[in-house]
Amino acid sequence: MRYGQKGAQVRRRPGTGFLAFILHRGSGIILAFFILPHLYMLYFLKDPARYEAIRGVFINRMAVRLAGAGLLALVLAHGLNGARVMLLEAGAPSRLQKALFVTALIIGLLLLAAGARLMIAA
Amino acid sequence: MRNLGATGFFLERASAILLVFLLAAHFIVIHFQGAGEDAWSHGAIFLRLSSPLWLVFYIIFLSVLLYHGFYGLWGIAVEYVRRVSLLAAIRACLVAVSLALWASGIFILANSQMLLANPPALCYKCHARGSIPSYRAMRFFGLHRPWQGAQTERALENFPASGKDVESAVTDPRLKVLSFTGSATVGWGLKRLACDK
Ligand code: HEM
Repeated sequence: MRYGQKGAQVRRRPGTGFLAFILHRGSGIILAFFILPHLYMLYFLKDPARYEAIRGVFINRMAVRLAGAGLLALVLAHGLNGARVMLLEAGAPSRLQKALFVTALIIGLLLLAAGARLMIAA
Repeated sequence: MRNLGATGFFLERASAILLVFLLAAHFIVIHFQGAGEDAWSHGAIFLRLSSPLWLVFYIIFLSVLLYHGFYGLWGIAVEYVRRVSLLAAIRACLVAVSLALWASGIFILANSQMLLANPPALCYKCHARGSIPSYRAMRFFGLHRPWQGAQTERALENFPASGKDVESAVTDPRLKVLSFTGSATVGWGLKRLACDK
C-alpha cells in the first residue's frame, strides 16, 4: 500500500491516529503559550501582599479552579499521547496503536479524576 | 516534527521524558494539595526557594520546559511553512521569545534569592501540616526546621511543619511574632509554650 507523497499530510485523515495527533498538537501549543501568564503571575512574588492578593482571587473563584483542572487535562492528554508516540517510534507494533490510544485515554481519565478532585477541593 | 534532524528529534524526546518527572513533581508538590492550601503561598514558595535543591529543580524545569515547548513549535512551523525567508523569521521570533521567557524565569528566581538574603522583617508564621509531601520532602533533606540554621535573621511565613517541629520553633528565643490559625486547643497550647520561654 502506498501513502501520499506529502509526508506530513498522511496523518491528517480521520481516525484514532488523527484524533490523537490533533489532541497532541493542540495541547502542546496551548501549554507552550501558557508559560507566559504563569511566569507573569510569579513575577509578583517580589511583592508578597500583591502576590497573595492575586492568589486569593485564584483560590476563591471556582472558574479558575476548574481552569486549573483543564490545564491538568491538557498536560495529561499531551504527556500520555507523547508516551504513546515514543513507544510506537521505539518499535512497538503499529497494530497496537489504537489499543495504546485507548490505554492512554483510560490512564489519563483516571489521573484526571484523581488530580482534579485535589485541585478543585477547597 | 519529522523535519528537525536527528539531534533535534532526539532532544525533543529526551526533554519529553524529563518533563514527565518534572511535571509530576511540580503538580504533586504545588497543585494537588487543594486549591486553598499553603503549597503555593508566598511563604511556602520562599521556603522551598531557600533550598538549593529546589532552586536547581526550578532552573532545570524552566529550561527543559521552554526547550521542549518552543522546539515543538518550531517543528510545527517547519511542517507547514515552505518559504525559507518566512521560516527564518519564525525561527528568530521563537528563539527570541523563548530566551526572553527563560531570562524572566531566572530573574524571578534571582529576585527571590535577594529577598531571602535581605528579608524585610522577621516573622514566623507556622501552619501545622504533618502530612503534605513537600513537608516530607523537606524533612528528607533535613530542611524541615528552617529556623535552626546559620541564617538567624531570616523571615519565615506560612511554612508547613509537624507538631513537634512547631514546638521547637515556638520556643526559639528569636521568635518575635506568632500568628496561628487552627483549633483552640492547639492555639492556646502554642501560646503557653511561647510565653513560658
Ligand atoms: C509529560 C510531559 C511531555 C511529554 C511526554 C511530551 C512528549 C512530546 C513528544 C513525544 C512530542 C513529539 C510529537 C511528534 O513528533 O509527533 C512533543 C511535541 C510537542 N510538545 Fe510535548 N511533551 C510533554 C510536555 C509538554 C509541555 C509541558 C509542553 C508545553 C510547554 C509541550 C509542548 C509541545 C509542543 C508545542 C510540541 C510540538 C507538537 C507537534 O509537533 O504536534 N510538551 N511532546
